[in-house]
Amino acid sequence: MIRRGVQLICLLFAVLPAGAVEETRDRLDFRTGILPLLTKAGCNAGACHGAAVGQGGFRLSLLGYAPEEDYASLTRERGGRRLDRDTPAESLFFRKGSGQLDHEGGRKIKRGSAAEQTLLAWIAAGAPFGPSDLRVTQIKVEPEDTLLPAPDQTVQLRVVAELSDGRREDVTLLALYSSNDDAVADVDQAGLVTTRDRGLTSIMVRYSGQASAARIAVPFGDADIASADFTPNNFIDEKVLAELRRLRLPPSPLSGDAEFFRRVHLDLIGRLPDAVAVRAFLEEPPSDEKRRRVVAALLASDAFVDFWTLKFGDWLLLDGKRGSEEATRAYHDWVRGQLARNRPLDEFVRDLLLAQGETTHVGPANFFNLATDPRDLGEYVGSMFLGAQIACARCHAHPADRWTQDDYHAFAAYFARLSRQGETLVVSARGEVEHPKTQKPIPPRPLGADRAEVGHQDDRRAGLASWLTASDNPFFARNLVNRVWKHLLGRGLVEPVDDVRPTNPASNPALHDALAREFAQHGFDLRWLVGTIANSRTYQLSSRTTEGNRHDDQLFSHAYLKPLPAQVFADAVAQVTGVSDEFEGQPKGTQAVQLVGAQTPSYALDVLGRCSRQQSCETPGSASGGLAASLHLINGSTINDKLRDSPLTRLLAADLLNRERVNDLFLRAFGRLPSDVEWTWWTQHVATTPDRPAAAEDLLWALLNSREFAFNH
Amino acid sequence: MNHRVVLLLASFAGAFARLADAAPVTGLAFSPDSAVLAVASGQSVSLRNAATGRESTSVSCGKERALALSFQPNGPLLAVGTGIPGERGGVRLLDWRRQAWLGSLSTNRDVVTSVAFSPDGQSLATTSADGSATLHRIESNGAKLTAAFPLIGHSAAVQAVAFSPDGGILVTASMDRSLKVWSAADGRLLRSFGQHTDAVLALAFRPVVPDRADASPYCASGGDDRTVRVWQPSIGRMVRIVRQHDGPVLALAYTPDGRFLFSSGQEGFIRCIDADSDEVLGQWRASADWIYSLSVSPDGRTLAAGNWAGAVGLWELTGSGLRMRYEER
Repeated sequence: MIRRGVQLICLLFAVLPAGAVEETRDRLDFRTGILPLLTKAGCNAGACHGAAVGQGGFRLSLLGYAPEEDYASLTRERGGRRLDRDTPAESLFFRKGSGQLDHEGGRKIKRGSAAEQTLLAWIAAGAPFGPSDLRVTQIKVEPEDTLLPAPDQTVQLRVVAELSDGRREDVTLLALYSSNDDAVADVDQAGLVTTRDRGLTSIMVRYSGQASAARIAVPFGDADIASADFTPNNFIDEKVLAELRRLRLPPSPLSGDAEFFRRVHLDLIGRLPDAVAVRAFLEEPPSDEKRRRVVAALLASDAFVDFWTLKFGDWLLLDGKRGSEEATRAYHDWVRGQLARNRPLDEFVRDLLLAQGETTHVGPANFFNLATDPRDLGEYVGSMFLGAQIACARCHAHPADRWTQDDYHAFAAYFARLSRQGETLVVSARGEVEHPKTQKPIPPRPLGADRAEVGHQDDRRAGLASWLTASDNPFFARNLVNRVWKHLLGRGLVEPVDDVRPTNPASNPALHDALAREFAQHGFDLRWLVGTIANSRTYQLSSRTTEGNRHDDQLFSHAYLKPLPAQVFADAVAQVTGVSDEFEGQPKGTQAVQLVGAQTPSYALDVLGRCSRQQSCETPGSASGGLAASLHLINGSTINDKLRDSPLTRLLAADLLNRERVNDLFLRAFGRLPSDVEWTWWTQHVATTPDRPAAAEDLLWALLNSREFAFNH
Repeated sequence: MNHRVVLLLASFAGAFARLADAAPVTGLAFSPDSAVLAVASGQSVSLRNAATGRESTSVSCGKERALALSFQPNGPLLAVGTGIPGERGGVRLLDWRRQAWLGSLSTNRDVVTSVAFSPDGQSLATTSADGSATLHRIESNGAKLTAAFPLIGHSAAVQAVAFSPDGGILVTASMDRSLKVWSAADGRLLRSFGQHTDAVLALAFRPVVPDRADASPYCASGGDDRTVRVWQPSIGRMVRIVRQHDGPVLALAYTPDGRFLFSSGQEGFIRCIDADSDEVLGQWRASADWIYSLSVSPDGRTLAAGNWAGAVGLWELTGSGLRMRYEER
């Protein structure tokens, strides 16, 4: 602004008058009329002018997330060289795009096409931007969910854009399409979907900054699921069964008692059941009731609290590196205390988000040790509590979601007033996040909300906490149930669990909705959630596949194999061998799952893939995965030292063919008795191995190095 | 301090018969006697009465766009940078009083973006969107133009060029974010400045100021990083950064007495900067659109600006010895 008192007499720079082009401006506006053409042609793709530095001196925003900037680039930049309003067809932009001049991207505008006519008409009309507030508010894809009978079938998608002025336009030919699994179905750029194999996938659809998806499925077979032996235990099973029936996917039988007993122990408390408990459970006649009893007992155990403290520590990246040992202990103890009290998770998260004070005494205040930059904190909160990956929007609009730079920086603004004084987290009266383009402070706003939830004036995080933990928050409950579901079932309803977006739909949307709704209605009760899932027939299905469901890896027709987490594996080896691990600075008998933080030195845990908590561990380390882990288990100290020291080895060596002792080992490791084949193999091995201690070690070694031991199944 | 800045002298807006079709004004230059304003827009150069804005004649460049202008300081020539974007470019010499084209060269693979006569009028520097810059010699009174030295070093489009007041060096500005300093005698690259954080689009040398006559010459540059930077290119010094711009800087012009620097750009504002302190003395919204070109008449009385919409504004620079009056309020 000119300074006060400065008098400017008159400014009469001319602007292009509307004149005769006015009537066409509605059709020829840049944001909703021209930019989609450029996007469809690939002009603003990441490999072309949508790259961060543009291409050939011409830079467009990635997929058109910044229409105003793109308009300026196209019409104004470099002396307006790209357009020729007098002779539109002589425009550099047009000649490049139509292949008349050398263009690395080749010909993008077909001669005689509707796109060509639209672009030329727009230039001739003076290249107007059009109404500045006109934008696409939503797109809808029809049909949303399609079941085609077999491979090599087609369905035509139709995409309708809803504009801010109330109009609805068919934009099928302008939308961008991509298949999330083109082995199941692919899609051309006119929206025609062709199935390629049996299975389930989704088609991602993007248009003018909006994104959506259509589910496409081909039945896995011809089985009549109505007659299958699958009696629902609860609403989870009803939702799963509905989808299995729809896709003609026969469920596996109910798991045996041994399989269930081992599984539920490892999933709920991270420990193998002891041999005595296994025997008792197996001796009791099969029943749903006895299974429910086991689930209830495990949920009420201290071991449940220990194990889920570890789980939550991984989720929250509770890490001793970022704070003092004392502070990490305070944080760990706080988490453990909340879980022991079965604190509702909305309250748990609210306490985390609002914490302040000395981190050595106020455990949850350590949550903000994750980062000092409010933008980084926003990303952590988005990922952990909402399952949303918003990092893309730090620099540009998310290419597969609706998040814009405005959304990103407004969300980060909730954390702009946090600071640290020594080990104390304080809320300041000042502090803002500046929008990178305007360089001006941006007020805090929840993701996807139209306006701010400012909350208490002293701490803007209060507004965030209220919005985030509300029972009707569209992300919070869905994120939590998805994470717990993944832990128990081996795969998230949405996968990856921290990438929830419209273009990555749940494999069973009805189940995801119902689970989130019920979880909220049950007061965000973790034990209710875990118990409800563990008591479902779906959870209790056998991991043995059938001919009809062996290709299913997302609809839960059978139990999926889950590698044991590093700490659980280490504790399991200790349990089976009877030789405990010792951890530096920890009392004797401390289990790996009970360690505070992730920094306690342990080569074994590191090589087994312990989550370092430096970043998200949603792809967990696997005892059975990785060459280093495999070699270590075969030759390293974790198993071999324990075999030498194990009293069980010595006991077995004294009487190698003692059936009870062999049974006991199998019960410890696998939660089942050895089969006749296994027993026969063992007797033959003993007969050919004169070194008795070595034979005993061989048996234990073989058990601990087996896939059956390394996986929860 | 508050200042009274400028008075509008005239606007060409009303003078354009086909305003709606007007092409962007990318080049402006006043004749040495300040009587004529040359306007490069579309495929022609318009010569206008600098006082009234009325067009006296228009010279066509055929199919090529006219993009950049420079009057020979002591001669009859007007250099015009021309070209067809993405296809070719060149420079033409016009005897502007007789409206006759003289020598020309068309060797560029993209448009010529900037032209500048040396102070002695015997050399002409050109820059091009093809990434090249060239120092030419004027021969046979303008009938012939010879490329004397290619100025090799930029890696992207070169957007501006300017000679130092003594003609000893010239500076080029490029989309490659650099400024390069060249010897006018032999085209040797003397040094390169890489402090701009985005494309450099505008350049202007400060005329010699009597009380600083002994100082190494100053020049100003501006660009997409929204800054104006002041340099002493001969000694490799960046003097100062003027940050008070909210958008890319597209044009710069000093007053002949060297006391003031005008800047303009994407925002449509013109800013007046004290050339000694680099303080922004005042700013005003001069256009609803991007301002590509600025020029101050040699007599220091008139400031001209041209924008994307094809309009030119003229402001009278009034005042005492400064030819511009800044009244403190």
